[in-house]
Amino acid sequence: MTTTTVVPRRHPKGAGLAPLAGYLARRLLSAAVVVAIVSMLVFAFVHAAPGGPERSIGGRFATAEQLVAIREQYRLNDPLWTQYGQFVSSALGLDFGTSYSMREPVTDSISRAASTTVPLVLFGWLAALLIGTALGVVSARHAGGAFDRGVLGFTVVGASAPIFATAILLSYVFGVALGWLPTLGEGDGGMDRIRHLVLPGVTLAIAAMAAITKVTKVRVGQVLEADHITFATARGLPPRGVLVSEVLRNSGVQLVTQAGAVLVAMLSAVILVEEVFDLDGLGSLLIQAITARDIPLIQAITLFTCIFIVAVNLVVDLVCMAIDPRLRIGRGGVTR
Amino acid sequence: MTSLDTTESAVLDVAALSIRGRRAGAEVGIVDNVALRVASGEAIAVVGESGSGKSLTVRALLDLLPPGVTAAGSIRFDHRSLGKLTARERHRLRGCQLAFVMQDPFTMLNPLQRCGEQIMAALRARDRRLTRKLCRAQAVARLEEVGISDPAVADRYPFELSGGMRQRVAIAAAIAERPRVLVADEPTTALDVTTQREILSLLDRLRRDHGLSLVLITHDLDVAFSVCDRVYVMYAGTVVESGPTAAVADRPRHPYTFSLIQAKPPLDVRVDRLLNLPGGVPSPGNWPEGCRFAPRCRWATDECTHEHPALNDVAPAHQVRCVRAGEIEHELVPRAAPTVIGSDRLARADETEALVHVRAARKTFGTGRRAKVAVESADIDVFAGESVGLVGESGSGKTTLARMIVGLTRPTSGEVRVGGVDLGQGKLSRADWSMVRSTAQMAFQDPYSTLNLRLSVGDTLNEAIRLAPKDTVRRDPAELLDLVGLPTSYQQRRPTQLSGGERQRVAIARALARNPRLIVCDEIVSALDVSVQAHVLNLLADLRRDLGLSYLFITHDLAVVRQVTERVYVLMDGRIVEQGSTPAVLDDPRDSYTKQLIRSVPAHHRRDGLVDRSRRTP
Repeated sequence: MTTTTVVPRRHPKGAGLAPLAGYLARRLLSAAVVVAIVSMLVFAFVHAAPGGPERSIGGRFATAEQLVAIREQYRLNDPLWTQYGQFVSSALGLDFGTSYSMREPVTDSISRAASTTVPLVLFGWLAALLIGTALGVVSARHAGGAFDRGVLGFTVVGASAPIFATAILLSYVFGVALGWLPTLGEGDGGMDRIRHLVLPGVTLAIAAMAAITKVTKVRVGQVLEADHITFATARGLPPRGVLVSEVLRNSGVQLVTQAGAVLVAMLSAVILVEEVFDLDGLGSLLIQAITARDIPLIQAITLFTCIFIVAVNLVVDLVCMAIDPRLRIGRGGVTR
Repeated sequence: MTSLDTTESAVLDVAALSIRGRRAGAEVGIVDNVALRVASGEAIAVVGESGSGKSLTVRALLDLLPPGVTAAGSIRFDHRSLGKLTARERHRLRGCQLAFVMQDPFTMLNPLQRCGEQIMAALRARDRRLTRKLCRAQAVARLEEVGISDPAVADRYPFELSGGMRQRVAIAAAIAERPRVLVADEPTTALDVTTQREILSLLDRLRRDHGLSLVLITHDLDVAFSVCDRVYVMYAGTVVESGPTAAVADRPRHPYTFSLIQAKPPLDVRVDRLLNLPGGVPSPGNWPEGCRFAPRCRWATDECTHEHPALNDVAPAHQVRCVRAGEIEHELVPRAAPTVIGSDRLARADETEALVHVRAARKTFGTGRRAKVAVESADIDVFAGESVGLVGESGSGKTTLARMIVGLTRPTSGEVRVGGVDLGQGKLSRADWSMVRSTAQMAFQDPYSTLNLRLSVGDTLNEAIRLAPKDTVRRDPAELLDLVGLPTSYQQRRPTQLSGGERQRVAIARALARNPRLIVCDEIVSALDVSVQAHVLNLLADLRRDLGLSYLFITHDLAVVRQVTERVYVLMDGRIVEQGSTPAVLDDPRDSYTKQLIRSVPAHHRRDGLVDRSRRTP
């Protein structure tokens, strides 16, 4: 038996863990830099307000003495850098001061609102992910069939209908016409809370689902045509195994990226949804804060949103790297 | 050699297989009444040009037809009719009994799964008790079987391996369950010639060691002849000839088989002209009445166009689908008397005028520690009227060198003088560029991406003509098309309406628009079918004679180099390892790498035996 000895030719030097750790460190650092820059901008809000910070705190009718008192109280006479340091150190301790409009610590307002918004967004996002991916996979496998055309119609409608229109339609049909579900407010906790969150959650899910279905369908369709799928089938691998380890895994990078994008996009969608369904969530809180020029509240919400977006992007990148080994080495230095 | 006389010994027996598909709304036949038989341990080849239906035929065997394509007929595996099995049973048969390897090692493996896991995937799916540890140990053993002795490969991802290694891993995965038949669809087409030889001898060895039957699909007759016991030649959806390798190779009885053999450039001699086979393979739905090859056949008579001929025995186990097989037998003698060109006619180069003068050229990509040297200290000359070959495998730097010569890539250091202009020197004036462009033009490999799909052929040519300097003779599109042997009416056509060979002709016409003195041809015939390749090679010879052109011919195909060049440079890893007159280098190579290249050409295997047991490939 002649056995030719072959040694791997392109031995990647960057396959070890050290470069990966280095990349991770760089990635975390750049995320931190982004957050730091945003925190400076957020801090600068106070000073950008018309009439200066003391005017926005004291209101239009504050007297000169009151304004001076405010400057003293809020240490507005300190150098800017000292003020910023003060801002950061309290922010790190989750202290954003007192909301003018709510007359309570900003953190309290936010955590109360978040208890409505977080479950809502999570439900909408997970539902959109699960159903959207499933619809996309099935329609890609039966491309051109009746199911595929139906799904295509749904994605076109779902993606092009403005979210408030979907919200109004749903609340009319299920809340007013059928009377199955409550359409206003967030309920009194427990089951009632869940019942109140169904329609807003579904509204959020429908718009996101359309985007996820579309991306899944296109990507899974591409993967299904790849040679390695034919090769796996030709080896008699079980269809379910092929679907999971070949099709879904190879679509993974695109699906995860899209899931992250959808989650970020939900932040603006949720504002409209909360307005239509009259929920006291983060979206309504933000609108209220803007209307009342409640600067500490605006600062906190903006900062949290920014941290959330940076975190989502970071997680998406890391998950993609976990899925695809080609992304782990050399960061784009590998062909095919 | 196994010869198959009785159906009893056949492990795979295909009869009356027809495949139909849809084209432009109408149902058309793609494959028509094909019969194939493979004995246990036997190797058969299914040979044909693109459009012959060979790939779909084997996909029908494996139940892998694309949607909308259906097969009818009898496929018996081990005396069991596949038609009577349920879809589930057929699925179980795949991998377990019938294995399949595809053409492109770069796309065949799951990019996200380690090689060891892929090899063991089928076994694990059937046997849940296999632990991870046991799997890895087995994967290492399976890798050893396909000639990979480094156990670490089991933990590698496909993208970390070379094409040849990937193809070995794919073969290991395909035969993991010890199937009885391996169907290989062009398994070596995408590989370099030395790797091709390694894979072919691996298949040959697996066949002997495991009693594996092999069905090899290929467009390359030499590959088929070097590995297989019997050969089926397909044309336009039918088998036109089948028989033992020796009989088909030495005494082809169908004019098409004969034409294929004649159109293939020989490695050992230079012939005056390759056989010109007019026309192309008719597409499904456009098959002519009678014999489908008749419109292109030199021996066709009225009789041939009446009815589709039957497959008749002409010798034991040798069948031919030709009504005139008996009459024309003595005319179909391959290479009866090759018109060898005397060496006096080869050397016409005017050594006083160098069109290309490259000295110590170096090209690196990237900077610092990661810099990759593509070309290192290359010295190349191309004199007026000369045709020079540049030979090497993928990654040898031959394309980089070619791109430097036409000014698409600037050398990192060294001298690259084209038409007297040094492309290595800083900024060039308009006049300098004009000089370079009028001296050297380039034609590219892929006929499908080389033309702008939005422009008609006439517009493409006009665009190139407009760029020619004012003081030179302006050609017009009709004249250019005439030069490359295409009718003037092609000006209105779009690239999508052209065949691969026609596109390549248009690309050559475009290169001629500026009246260059040299055309740099980068693998321009390697993606073409053998009959089309012969056309283009003949065309290049004509153009050279008529226009006094020079060529710098970049190719991995030594037989092509033999036909079109007088001098040759052999490149390996960016360095020129050997150079000299083409006959001298090919007949008496000095460098060990050149020797290895020449030894790897499939045409050599049949004569010398495929598995060269006296030496190991490094």
